[in-house]
Amino acid sequence: MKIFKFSIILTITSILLAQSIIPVFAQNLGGQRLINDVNRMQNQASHAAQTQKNQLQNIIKRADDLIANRLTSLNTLSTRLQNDSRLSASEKSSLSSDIQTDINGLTTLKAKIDADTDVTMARSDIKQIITNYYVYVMFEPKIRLLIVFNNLQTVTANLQALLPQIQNLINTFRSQGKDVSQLQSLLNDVSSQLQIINTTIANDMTTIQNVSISTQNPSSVFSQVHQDIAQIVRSGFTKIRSDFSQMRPLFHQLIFTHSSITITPTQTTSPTNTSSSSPTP
Amino acid sequence: MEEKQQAKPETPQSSQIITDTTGSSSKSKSLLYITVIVILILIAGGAYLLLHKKGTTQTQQVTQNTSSQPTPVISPVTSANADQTLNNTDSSMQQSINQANTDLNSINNIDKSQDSTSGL
Repeated sequence: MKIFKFSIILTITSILLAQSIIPVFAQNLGGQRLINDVNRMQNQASHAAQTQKNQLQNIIKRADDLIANRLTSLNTLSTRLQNDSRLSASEKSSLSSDIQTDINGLTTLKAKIDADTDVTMARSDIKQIITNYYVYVMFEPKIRLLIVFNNLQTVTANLQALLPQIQNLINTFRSQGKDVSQLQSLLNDVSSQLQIINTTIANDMTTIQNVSISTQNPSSVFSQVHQDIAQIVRSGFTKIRSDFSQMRPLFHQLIFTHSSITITPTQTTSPTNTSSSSPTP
Repeated sequence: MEEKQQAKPETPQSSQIITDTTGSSSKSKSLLYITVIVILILIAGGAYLLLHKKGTTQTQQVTQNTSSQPTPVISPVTSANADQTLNNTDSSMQQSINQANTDLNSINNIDKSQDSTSGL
């Protein structure tokens, strides 16, 4: 009986003891989990911050490379422009100003990106290197085409100024009773070709000047202009050269086979020396 | 003292003075000639420089005019220079076409994929 009582008391005591100890254990186990959770979260945050920092550094490095490439291309373009011997000072100044605007813009953008502390902002800024300038898709082809057209315009202007002079000479021969029908026909063709070339160049220049970063698919515009240069301008010049090559023996024949014409030795220098002697840039 | 004594005998006599006067007259004549020659050279040099400078200014003006207005100044085409004029114009056209071809090739060689935003 005694043993029975003792066992009951022991059981009750054990239960009471257990009830008072278990929560303490439970509390300790929960706190550890919390600490673990906090540590884990801290580690995650630290890792995320490190990842963001790395991402930011990568973006900045990439942006610097993109800008450096563009600045190199723009400076090369500027050198090409400045070395051109046919372009007028105003043409050079205008195109050079456009190039400088892009150089300045990209330099400012580089400074901004280098100072960026936020990945989202840096990502937005790096895209601007492309979308605000389109150096390779739009800007460089545009400037190079304008250089081409300005050069061609100089040549056509020289030709245009030459035509009345040739016409005067033909008129002189005509007034002396010479047959100038072939020469006149060839000169008319030169004039006609020149008109076509001038119209094409003027239209294409307007088209190119209107191309901007907002132009949808500028490559297709440039492609059309390329085609015009190849098909109209180049072939027009080829025809004019062919006309000139036919005119030269005709003039030669008129000058040397008919002794009635006095050759004035005063005009020995070529009137087109300025245009022809200018070196290819 | 010795130097003073030595200097005394070198004092010119009156006849010598006359001779020297004649010498100085011829000297002044040659000096005059030299001066005239120098002045002439200076005038010629100045005129040359002036003309040269004027010529340069004129060339610059022509260049500027050509640049601001594409229409160039063409001397009259005569029977004497017709052939050469046509020949030079032909060369000029050839040069321009060659340059245009070079520029068009440069445009074709531009790597446009560098303006792709994919991956950014």
